[in-house]
Amino acid sequence: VSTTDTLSEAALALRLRDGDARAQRIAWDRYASLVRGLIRRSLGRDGDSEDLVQEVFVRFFRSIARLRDPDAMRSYLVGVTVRVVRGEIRRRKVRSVFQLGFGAKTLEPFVDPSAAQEPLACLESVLARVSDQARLLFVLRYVEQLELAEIEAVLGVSRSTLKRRLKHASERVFELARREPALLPYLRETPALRDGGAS
Amino acid sequence: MNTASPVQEAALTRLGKWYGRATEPGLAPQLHTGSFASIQAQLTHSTGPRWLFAAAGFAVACALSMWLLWQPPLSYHLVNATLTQSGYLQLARGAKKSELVFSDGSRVTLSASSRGRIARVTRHGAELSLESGLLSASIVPRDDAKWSITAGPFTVEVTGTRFDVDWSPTTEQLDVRLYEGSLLVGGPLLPRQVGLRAGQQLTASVSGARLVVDELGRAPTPAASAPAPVPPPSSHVGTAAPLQPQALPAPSRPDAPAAAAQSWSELVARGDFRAVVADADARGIEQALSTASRADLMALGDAARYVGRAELAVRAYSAVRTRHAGSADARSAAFFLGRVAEDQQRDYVAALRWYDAYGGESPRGALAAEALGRKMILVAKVSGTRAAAEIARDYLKRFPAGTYAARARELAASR
Repeated sequence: VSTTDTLSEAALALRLRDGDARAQRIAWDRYASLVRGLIRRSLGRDGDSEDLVQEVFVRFFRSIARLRDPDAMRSYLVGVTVRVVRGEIRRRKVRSVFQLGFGAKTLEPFVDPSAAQEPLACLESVLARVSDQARLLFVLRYVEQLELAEIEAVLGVSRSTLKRRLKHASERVFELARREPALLPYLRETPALRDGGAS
Repeated sequence: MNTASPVQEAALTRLGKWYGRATEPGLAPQLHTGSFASIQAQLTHSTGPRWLFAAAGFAVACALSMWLLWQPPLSYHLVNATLTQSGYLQLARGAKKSELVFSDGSRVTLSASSRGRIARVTRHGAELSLESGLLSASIVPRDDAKWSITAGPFTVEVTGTRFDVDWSPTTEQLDVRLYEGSLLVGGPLLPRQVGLRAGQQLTASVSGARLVVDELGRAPTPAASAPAPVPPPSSHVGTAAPLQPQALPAPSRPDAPAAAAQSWSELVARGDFRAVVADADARGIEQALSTASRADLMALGDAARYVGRAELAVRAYSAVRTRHAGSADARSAAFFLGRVAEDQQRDYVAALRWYDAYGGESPRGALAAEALGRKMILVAKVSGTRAAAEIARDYLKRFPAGTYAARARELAASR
């Protein structure tokens, strides 16, 4: 592995600002999975998700010069991703209104079969029933484990607004999840978290 | 209170962490690399938000014109050659090779029997067209360098590297040998551009629908293809200027311990196909097929396909379809199973079945045009051009600008 793979976030950001092509490759290798995960979990998996991943990185590389704090590069990238996700949600709504069949996406589970199937299907079903905003907040806060300050910056909202929205989203997801027997073991403190991760 | 209760917070945190692990996104490594190539192409070629440029169009055009005036294109001089009016290099009498020497230090050599021309020279590099024969290039790395070689239906894009391109229009075979740096190859057999790293060679046969990526100097296995023998690397680059190799990872050997430490996806993304296959062999194929993640199974399939291990490729892709049925990778695996059947096993019936399977499962998938195009070519080969005419018309209707459009027009016109 190239030694440049060990670049700190700030050092990588500075190289990206200079338009360093190799830094772009490093950023891609390092963060593509994060972006892909965010997009897929926020939108559901479909054939367009890789196009959206590319769109995120094209926007990110083009606009990196605007990043003021190199240490905040990851948050900046997440912000770009969220903007692309929101744009896609808007596009899908428009398509849905006009009932263009080819554009109407459904949330399709994308799970590793080695994971427990029933709970995953249940959680996907829960997330499909909450609002787009609530799903996005659940993904940012509880799946990607972003700090409140980071989400604040990413969404461009005040702390109080974020807390209010997060509370609403959390209650909604929790309420629906606790009605699903298959999800109860994951909501309780015991038994210990089952490892349903990818092999 | 404006926050979720601690109980809810803790429960949702557990749920979210579990959900994150269980839905870890995977991507076939060739698509991961291909995606990055696509990003680079967009960064290079597209012009940003259209409304912005429309609004600033005139100002940008003026600024660009001035910039171009200040930044003239590279200059070059010819060694042992003259240039015809249409840009073709004409070898001087008695010379064995012609050479283009550019003002940035880059050099391009054409062998005596080759035919090529300069399509365009810019301040960033040049676009060269190789119509037949061998072209050797030594491109000086620069941040803004942009060079491309068109060889038949293939395009080789580089920023700074040393390589040979050998194209035969008669056999429709392309050989790319890369000695330093990295480059991207795009063309009809490649759904997306393929990245090569130093020490690799790519052989693509359009008529035979074969594609092999291998270590330099290593003859592809018979199962993969039987391309022409590869001459030693030094034979074409004797006069090349010394270059600083790019900091790409060195090729790892199949028995390198690093293979175990890296995922197969990562190894394939780096072009280290043999390490993946060797690692699978070492772990035991059955064990690997039953425990590897979806991304690694796709990587194993790709690696096995590239090194000519057709049976292993089939088993890996089949495992994706069985273990991860319904996933996008499972759908893509159908297409790649078709490629293995067609290219390496010469089982055209099976290949057609797999292309049909992909077309049925992913009618608008990323490989849909390629699957239909391959089906059209195969039907023409097996059952004749008349039988392929209907498929050709369907192809033209769905993919009028597709890679196989020219052939489709020919077939569609057959009676």
